[in-house]
Amino acid sequence: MPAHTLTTGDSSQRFSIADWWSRNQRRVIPYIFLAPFLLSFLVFTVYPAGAAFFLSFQRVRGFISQEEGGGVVLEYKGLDNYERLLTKDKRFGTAIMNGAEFAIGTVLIQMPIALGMALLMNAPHVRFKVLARLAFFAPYITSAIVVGWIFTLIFQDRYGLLNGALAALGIEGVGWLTNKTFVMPALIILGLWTWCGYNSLFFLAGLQNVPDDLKEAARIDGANTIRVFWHITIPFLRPVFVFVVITGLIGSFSLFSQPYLLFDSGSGPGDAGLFPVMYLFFMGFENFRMGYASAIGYLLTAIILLITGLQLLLFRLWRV
Amino acid sequence: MLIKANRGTAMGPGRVNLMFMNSVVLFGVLLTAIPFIYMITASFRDQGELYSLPVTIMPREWHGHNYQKLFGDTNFVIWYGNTIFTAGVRTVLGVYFAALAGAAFAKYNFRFKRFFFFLVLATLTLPFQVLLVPLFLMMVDFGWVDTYWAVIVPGIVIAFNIFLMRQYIESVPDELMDAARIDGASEFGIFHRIIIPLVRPALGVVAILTFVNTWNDFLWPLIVLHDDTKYMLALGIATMEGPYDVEIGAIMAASFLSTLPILIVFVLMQRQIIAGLTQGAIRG
Amino acid sequence: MSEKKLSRRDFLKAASTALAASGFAALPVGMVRAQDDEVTISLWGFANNRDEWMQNLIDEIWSESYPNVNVELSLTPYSDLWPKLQAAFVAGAGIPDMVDIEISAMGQFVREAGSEPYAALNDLLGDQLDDLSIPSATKPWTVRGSIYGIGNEVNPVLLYYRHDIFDELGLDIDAPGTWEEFASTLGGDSMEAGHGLFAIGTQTWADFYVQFHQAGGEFFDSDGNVQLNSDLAVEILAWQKAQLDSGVYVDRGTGDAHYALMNEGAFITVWGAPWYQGFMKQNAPELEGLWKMRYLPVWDENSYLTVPRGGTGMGITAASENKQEAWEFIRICNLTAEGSLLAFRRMNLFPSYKPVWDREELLRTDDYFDGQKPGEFIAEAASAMAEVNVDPYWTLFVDAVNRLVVQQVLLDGVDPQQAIDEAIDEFEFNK
Repeated sequence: MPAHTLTTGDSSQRFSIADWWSRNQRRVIPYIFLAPFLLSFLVFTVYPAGAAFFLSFQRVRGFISQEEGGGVVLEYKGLDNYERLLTKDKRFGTAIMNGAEFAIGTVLIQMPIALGMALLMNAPHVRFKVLARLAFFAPYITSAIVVGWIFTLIFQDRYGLLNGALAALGIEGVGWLTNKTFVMPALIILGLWTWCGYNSLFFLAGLQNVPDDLKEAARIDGANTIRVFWHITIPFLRPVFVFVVITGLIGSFSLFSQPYLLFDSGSGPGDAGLFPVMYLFFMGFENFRMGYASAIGYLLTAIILLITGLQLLLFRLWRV
Repeated sequence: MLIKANRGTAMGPGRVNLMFMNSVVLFGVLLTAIPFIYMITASFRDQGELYSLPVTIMPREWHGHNYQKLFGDTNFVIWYGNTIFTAGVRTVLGVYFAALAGAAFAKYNFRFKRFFFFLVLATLTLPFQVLLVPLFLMMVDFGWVDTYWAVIVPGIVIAFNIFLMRQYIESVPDELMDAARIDGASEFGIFHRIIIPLVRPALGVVAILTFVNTWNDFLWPLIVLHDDTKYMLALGIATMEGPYDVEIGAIMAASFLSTLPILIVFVLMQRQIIAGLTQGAIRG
Repeated sequence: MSEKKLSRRDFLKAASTALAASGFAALPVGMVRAQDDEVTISLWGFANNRDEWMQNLIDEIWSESYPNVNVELSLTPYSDLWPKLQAAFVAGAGIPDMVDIEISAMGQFVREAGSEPYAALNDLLGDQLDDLSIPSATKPWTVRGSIYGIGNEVNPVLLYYRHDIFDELGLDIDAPGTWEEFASTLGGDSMEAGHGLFAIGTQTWADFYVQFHQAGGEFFDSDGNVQLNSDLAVEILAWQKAQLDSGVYVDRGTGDAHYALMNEGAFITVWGAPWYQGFMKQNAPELEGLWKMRYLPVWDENSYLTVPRGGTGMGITAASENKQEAWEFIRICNLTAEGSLLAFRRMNLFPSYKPVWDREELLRTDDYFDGQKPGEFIAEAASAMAEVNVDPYWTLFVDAVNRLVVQQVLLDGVDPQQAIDEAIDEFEFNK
């Protein structure tokens, strides 16, 4: 197309441009393909991320008036923010521990259930497969705000659906959101509802990928169902395990909207519902400590990358 | 299908077993569905009844006044339109740009390729809240505050989508692309006529993820939009929470109506979406 | 295209000339001039009832006096308003002219002297300060001597009780003079009848704040020093915990559940500022006529009659380019008989503007409270309330009090002194 505008008169020039294009197309095209993404990514992610990184070494002291151009008064604090977070700030520790507890809880409880559900859905003659697929994906695409509101009603002490159901079974209900012992179980239940079915779909896809002839061969060799499952099916599911564990981990540490809503913009009794991103938000936007909040963000990212790296390493060992 | 059926008869479960397995699946479906059902029935209840004993899933009396309140007292219909518009634009552009970039990463060589890809991965785990203030300052400089530009443009490209697209496009056979090149196809032609049709499930996934993302986005619109006739649904629903007094029935009605279209889109496209989403994980 | 446009514009020009000549000129010319001078001032708020009041005031009073000044009201949920405001302040752009500053959200932006994003109202207020009830109208928005907000309501905490149940049980609400007597003489009988005597919040700093300040305690002194570490605080916390353990006090519940408990009769007394009366009427309409009010029992002879609780003040941002207009709006809302009486009618809030205090209207009977006159209680309490020092670190502090003091003591049974020490440590650490 650009060649078109240059064609008037000089035909040799047109030839050279077209020539050049046909010779160099493959070399140039990736940059063109990349341009919209890269431009937007650099401007709207990399640049603000850099600005936040800069901010993480500062303390925000106050506002600069509009006549003087607006903005904030900064004071350079070096590594103070990071040092404080790592060595002194108990609430940050609580938030990280809550994230870890949630991650372990969800992964350990969720994976067996998700795998079990997937095995059932993969078994021959079992019905309701389409229905189950629909139902299991639905929570995942429901707005976190909507989920937060629904579960506010479900977990309510006295009039909540969950305690109502327990009462019908003759079990006395508990303060899911008001008793700090039950806050984490409540959040794990919410996590199960949101992600368990979703993860089972990944396991299901993995199961459907296990070659049948391999299993047949093992069976002919005299292996029983459990041995086949353990030695053939499970190793085949390895990538699914990696995916489920890693996304579960990242999701656990980044949890924000659901607890923020459940605890009415607070952190739950005894900080039992405090997660790192919530703490970041409280520090940055309620306590006006934006530099500190940025440091929380970067430290959290580092922690997540570290744990993810360790996980990948572990999974690599499993392959051997 | 045939293979599965054969295997079934070879070692099919017994009748009792099958019944048990069916009921477990059905039980799982039921547990997943109950919160949704409760959301719907709560939207037809009187506030007083919702907070009374004994707790029931079905209303004792059906009321429509939560919906009257929703349509009468809030800008719900306007929020709906705004959401469809912004989610639509972001999805169409987002899918196309993500596919282009994914193709570049998967099938071409260029300078700093590894570095850029590392950058994409590294920003995946950075909480969005960290970017909030710098990004807002940028919107002010651009003059985009309180406009749709601020809601649409920064959200078009999502790093995760680039990652997904790269995973899929890598599975497109190089021979196919080379054959097209020998036939004289341009690189754009190859992209549109070979890559795109082959990764259609992935496009579906990226589309629904982007759509859902926009549909559920709350924090960013809150900061950049001031005029409540420009609000999207998630933000609008959040603003229905009065200062000391929550109209939970009307919020449930809004939640129900705002979740409905996503569910419908999903029901229509579910095979494609699930296949697209799970393939990446299997391959690892 | 361009030809057409030109001809249309010519046509319009000709038409307007003709109109002007025919004597209709006054109307269009006047309108044009109004548009030229038109100013829009904006206010960000979070409360539906205040929004309705101001909208009414704009329609009924403001737009007649100031047809050229549009007031744009915008509502954002409470917890979301402050991040939004902060982003605007940081950017120095998109800042509204006025903000409805809730008392607990006052401090965090005015910590550094000289960089406050709000305008001091002292000079604009001038002598009119004498017309206001200071503890409710300006004190909570005063930092380093500068007044950054004007609150329109007198907000003393009063005790509400179910007189039907008291009569039924043969209990006399007026008998107890002190909190001690209140619990010991009434608690046993009400518990026996299946009611908690009093509803206390276990996940909010507010109920501890009320009793502590009533007894003469302070969160901050006037120099901003924390005053929580005191025997009085320990004593009150231990006492509240004992009442809760014995069942005389019950957990008040959060959100909607609080009113559900109220409707069930789970508690028969509860305290609250006048704005709370509005929520009682809205959420427990069937209890009309069954409630009455009285002043709080006291801690000892040094106790205050009551303390102010909550409140919202209207402030002007430093960035506003229409401070005069904004002040005029705030003045009409808070410092005129029309504005403050309208607030009373719309929100049932007793004005902090003293010149109207003798109006019949304010002292009217209220059927919800069995024909009592809430206005009388409020007017008398206004001058007998504790004055609370609000500090720029108030929000940070009360958050620590909520989590580490109230929750730990009342829910987990932690020793009050230890809880107080932890809260002060964390506060000083974060400050």
